[in-house]
Amino acid sequence: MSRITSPAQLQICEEVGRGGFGVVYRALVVESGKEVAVKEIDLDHELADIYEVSREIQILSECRLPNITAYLGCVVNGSKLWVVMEFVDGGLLYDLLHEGPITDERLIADIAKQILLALDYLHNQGKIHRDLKSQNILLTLDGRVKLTDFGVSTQLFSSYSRRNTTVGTPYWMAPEIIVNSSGGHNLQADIWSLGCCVFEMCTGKPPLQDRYSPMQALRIISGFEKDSDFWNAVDSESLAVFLPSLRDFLNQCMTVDPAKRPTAKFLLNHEFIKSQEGSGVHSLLQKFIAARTGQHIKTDLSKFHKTRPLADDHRNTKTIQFDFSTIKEDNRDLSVLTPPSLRQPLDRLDSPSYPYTPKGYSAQKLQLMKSEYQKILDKSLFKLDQRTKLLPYQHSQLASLNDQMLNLFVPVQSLDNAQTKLLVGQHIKNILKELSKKQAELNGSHLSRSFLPSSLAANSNDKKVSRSSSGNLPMDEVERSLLSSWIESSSRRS
Amino acid sequence: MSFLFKRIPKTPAEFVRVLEELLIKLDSSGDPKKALEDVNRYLRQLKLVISGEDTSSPLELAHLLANELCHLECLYYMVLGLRKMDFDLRKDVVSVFSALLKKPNGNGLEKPVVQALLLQPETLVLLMRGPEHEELALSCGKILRECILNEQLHAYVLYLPYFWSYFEYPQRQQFETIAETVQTLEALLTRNPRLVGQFLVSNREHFLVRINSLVQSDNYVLKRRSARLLCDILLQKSCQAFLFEYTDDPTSLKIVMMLLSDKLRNVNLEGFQLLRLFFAKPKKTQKIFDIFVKNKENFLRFFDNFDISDLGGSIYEERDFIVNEIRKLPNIERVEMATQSN
Repeated sequence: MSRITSPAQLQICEEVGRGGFGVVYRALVVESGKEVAVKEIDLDHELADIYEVSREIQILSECRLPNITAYLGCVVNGSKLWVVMEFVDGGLLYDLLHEGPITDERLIADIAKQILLALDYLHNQGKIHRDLKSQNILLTLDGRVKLTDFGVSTQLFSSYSRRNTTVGTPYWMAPEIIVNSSGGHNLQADIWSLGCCVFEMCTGKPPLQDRYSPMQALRIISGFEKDSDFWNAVDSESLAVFLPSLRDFLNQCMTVDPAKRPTAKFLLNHEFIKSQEGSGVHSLLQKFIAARTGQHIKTDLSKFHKTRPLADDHRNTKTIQFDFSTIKEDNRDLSVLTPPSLRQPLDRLDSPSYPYTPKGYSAQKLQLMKSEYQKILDKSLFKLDQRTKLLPYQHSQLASLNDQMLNLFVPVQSLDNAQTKLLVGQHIKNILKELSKKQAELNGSHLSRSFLPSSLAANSNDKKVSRSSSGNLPMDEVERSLLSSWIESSSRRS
Repeated sequence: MSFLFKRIPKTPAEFVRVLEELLIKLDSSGDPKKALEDVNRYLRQLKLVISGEDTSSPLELAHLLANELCHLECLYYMVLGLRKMDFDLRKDVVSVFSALLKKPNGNGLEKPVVQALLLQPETLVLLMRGPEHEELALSCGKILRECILNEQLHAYVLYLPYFWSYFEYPQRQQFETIAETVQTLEALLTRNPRLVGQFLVSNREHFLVRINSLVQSDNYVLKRRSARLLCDILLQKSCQAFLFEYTDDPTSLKIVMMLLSDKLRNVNLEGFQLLRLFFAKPKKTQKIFDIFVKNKENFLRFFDNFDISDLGGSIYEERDFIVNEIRKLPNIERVEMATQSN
């Protein structure tokens, strides 16, 4: 499949996950109808390092293995980066284990083997997963195990941030990582985490989770000195029912000294992995995944309906208003950034809907202004909705107000035909003008304070500023854009 | 020892010659699949030995192979053959180059690979032109960036006309290509600062136009990385002549002000990093001074909203310094009267 390079190639569907920096969406490739996962990263986020992200994408694009979720391309959309990945239909191993542990060793061996294949591939290229856990192991309905969320995703999507701002779940972490004795992550740390995943498959929970809080676990894991320390700390009784070869496999993974821990290549030849290999295992895994996900999808759907009370809510129309923060900057390139589905109605408005070509505005310019205006309206409603508890009827009233304000975005001629004005713009101007006058009066000042952004209110007392902003002085392009961005940012604060 | 040498017992010299012949055949062979398989076999073996991954092979062998590689035109055909190779094979070529370039200098002489590349610079030209085929950007970029750690190789490629293509390549569609080529551009302009300083003396104008156009790019990543690159170059001691020219250039100042007027905070920050250079420059030209005066109010308002509360370091002092400088500027009214009276 050719690489995805433009937002127009994608149709964003619902949100399927969320991480520290971004959101994961399910999306469709417009051309082929193929399902993909789109991870959105805000590059302008204060903690997002564009160099780091770029480098990780480069690494990601170099990993091609059936047991690693495939990278399909990247789109820079304003300050948002969409990382397009293969969509995996069977869900997370984590969710599967929610239904209980896996009792059939053959399945555990097959899953472990597929994880080892991926780790071996990564390690051969000097890449470390860094965050291997059941939440990062995906399954396909046809029985394939896929690793995901390494590198870029580790930093941007996992709860354990590289910058240690949030220490998430430590249960899969190797002792040397917590102690930081090896000066960061090493290949062997992934093997420890793999052991934790096998443990989790056997018992339903990673080691220590049934007994200790994350903080306690962190302390205990970092205190491991001998290999037996691990086995003393966990409930090894529950593993007694499993094959000795499985227990030996685990034993090797949970070697406390990273230097003595075996490599992925070595473990691929371990008796436990080898002895369970057979033609029947794969279909067994398929059946297992199908059975578990069948249950899973049902529960998921019910959740889905509950959390979406307003189907046509503005927040959910992601396909259209995916990113309103960037449109202004990209005005010149609107045709590139707007999917064709959006472009059409805009083009059509060009001539027929305006009965005359208004003075001073080309139809195209009007259109750009209008779409910008629409973004502002939407943004305002969105913010309002985020910051205040809008009742449903209030939300719909505001939404319809926005619609009306949009409908009033039409040019009108003054009586003498000398000037063209925007109907709604003139109306708002008049209101603001009256409100500014009211500032001098006692009662009026309360009124104006609740209507005017503080920056605007303060400025109008300042003669000099109001002069320059009212356009008496000739301004060059830069001044104008500076000015407009300030006005905007000050209104953003209000 | 490796199966290959057992099965096809050859001296290192023969081995490299056969590899070279196979690489040449990649282009002309009637059976491209077979040719690729042969190359694959040899190249993989070469990589394992030379990179030291195959611990069973003696170091001496790696050394001999490396020397042979540098005598023939094998390196050239390896790069030329990249187009025909598959994804994994390209990685092997990168590894081979990387291993060769990492070998220590012998007896105060240049590394054999550096000598070989300088003697046959066609290989370097091929590498520089790599991103013309988008799928080669990655492999060529990696090799190139390792090459230019060496100042002589760096000097050679910097003065090639193809250098200027690195302002075009990052404007491509694919994100990996953008990231890859802008990374190479950064390397080309920041490694060996003395060399870059000299280069800029004779290429200042051309460079300024090119880098400024990248700074104005619509691509967020490209915009920020090129602004940062520009700033890094300006702050190099060896590029001071360029710094003075830059801070006298009204167009550049205008572009910096555009960064300040962007609605994205980190773009503002990159703009600020450049703006301070204009303010820091003593003896501003009249043109620059006029722009400052004309925008006094605008600058002040920008700094009113310039949120750096979460940042550390010297940025506060720098901001305060600039705000102070701006406050000292004459007010617009006065300037207006002055120009009227002229």
